[in-house]
Amino acid sequence: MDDIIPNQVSQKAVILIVEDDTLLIKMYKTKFELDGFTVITAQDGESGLKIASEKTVDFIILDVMLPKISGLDLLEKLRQIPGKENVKVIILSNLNNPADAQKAFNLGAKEYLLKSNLTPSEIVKKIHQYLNV
Amino acid sequence: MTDQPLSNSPAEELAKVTKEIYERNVELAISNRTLSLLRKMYEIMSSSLNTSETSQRLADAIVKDLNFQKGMISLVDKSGDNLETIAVSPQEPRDSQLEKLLGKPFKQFSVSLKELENFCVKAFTEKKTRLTNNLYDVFIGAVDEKISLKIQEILHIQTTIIYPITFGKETLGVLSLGIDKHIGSLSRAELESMHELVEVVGIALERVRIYNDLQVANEKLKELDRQKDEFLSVAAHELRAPMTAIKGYLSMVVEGDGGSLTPQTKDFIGETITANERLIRLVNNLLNISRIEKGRLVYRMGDINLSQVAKTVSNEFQVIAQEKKLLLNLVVSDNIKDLVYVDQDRIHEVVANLISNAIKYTDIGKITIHLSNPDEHHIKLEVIDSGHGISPEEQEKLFQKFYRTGSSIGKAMGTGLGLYISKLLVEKFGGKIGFSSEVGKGSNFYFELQLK
Repeated sequence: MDDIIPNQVSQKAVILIVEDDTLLIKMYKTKFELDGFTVITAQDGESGLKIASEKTVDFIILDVMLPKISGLDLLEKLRQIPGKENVKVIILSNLNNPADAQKAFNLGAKEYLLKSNLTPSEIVKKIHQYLNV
Repeated sequence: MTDQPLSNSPAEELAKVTKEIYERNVELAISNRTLSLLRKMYEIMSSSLNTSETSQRLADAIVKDLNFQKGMISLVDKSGDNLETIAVSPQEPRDSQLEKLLGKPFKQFSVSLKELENFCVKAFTEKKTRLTNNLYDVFIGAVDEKISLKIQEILHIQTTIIYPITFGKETLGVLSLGIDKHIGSLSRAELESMHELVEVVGIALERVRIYNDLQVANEKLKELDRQKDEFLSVAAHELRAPMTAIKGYLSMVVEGDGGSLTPQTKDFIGETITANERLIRLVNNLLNISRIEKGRLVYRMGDINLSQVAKTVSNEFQVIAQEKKLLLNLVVSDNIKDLVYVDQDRIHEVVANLISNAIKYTDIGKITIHLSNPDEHHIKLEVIDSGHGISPEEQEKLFQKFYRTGSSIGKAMGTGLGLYISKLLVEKFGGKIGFSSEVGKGSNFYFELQLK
């Protein structure tokens, strides 16, 4: 399974990135690991859901438009799994869609952000902010 | 030599005059009938824009008012190869008998224009009225002879007249009328009035056809517009991923994630980041435009100090203004009230847009951003430049989508969406946007918002 790349160090907070653009995955993974996180990645909604439900994940960075199942469907299904009701999630979308944003908030997402508006370090700041709460 | 009476007897004279009066009366009656029928037909024409409905109502009106047995309107179909029956005047219980005979409604006829013996085809191609005592002449190529004769019997038709329906040089189809008497029994006046009526049928059907053609063209345009929106949306969306990657990596480089940089490298990267931000803004504009138009953009409304926004934006543009050796000033009136309820990013976008335009179209001089309260409930932001000014012709088109001034002189830049979006946004926030300009003297672009 080449879309699951677990990090060796287990003490750090684990972040799951579900994103279908290979370059963006690589970028976020590089940045997050530089900042000391353990990163797991998935390139479609289905494998994202599998990882999120089977592994201990502290934070999910979730795209909306994804192959197989969408980010929002993934989140909806994940919330029905016992113990996964409160996993912290930030939606990182390409589209500013009010209906999607509302649905994401209803499913307990922390934020609904536009990818092109943020640099990786700004996302890291957000992750720290929510992990420390 | 036989005797020739020099004049008729008074009795004969009276009979002659009486006969003439009678004939004139008949003519008058026919004219009246024609006139009232014409009026009815114009009413039909103005109340329907559907081909089959209009044809049906016209055929019904003619047959009913002129006491014919049957009227049938056939029009050339889309392929241009066939005459297709569009309407047949109803007549029960004979229609039921015909349906039994034919096994289908007495309506669905289509005859190829290659059936040169068919009288409808003849009337159509030769643009001449045709007359026949044999109904089969009308149905050659559509119904066989035996059945045609039975139809003729059931309908009590003796004569059928087929008129070409024309409009200008074009022939649209034919009107066939079945009469239960010999053609000789129709007066000249009656036959003449028929020509007038058929002419109106032509006008009515042409009008419907033009309308329908326009409808089709209109639908096509709407579809193209929808495809354009979709294309923009998909293209903008696809562009976002690589732009995000460029932005992300550049920020990581400049933040030192890849090691330390020389000050000059940092500067270069800084310029690249600025350029990339502009690219992102342009693409976002393309994507936002259809969303604003469809009311699907999310606004994060809040209380904002407009002078703060003006300050931030004017600082952002200082470098670009200096490169063009332009003076960029921010003038805020004393004791200004500037709290407005808007989306901060969007109002930032509007101010940036006005300033960016001013810089783009000014070569010498200065640009002043002026904030004032025109009255106690409003704040006005003006961007006053000493640029080219805008000609009255261009002024009219300024707020249109995709319009770029100076596109004819090769000076245009950008997507031509800036002012259009700015207008949509300012209006969304309940304000108004406008400008005044004179060629050679510069322009003043402003918007006004209600104070919180």
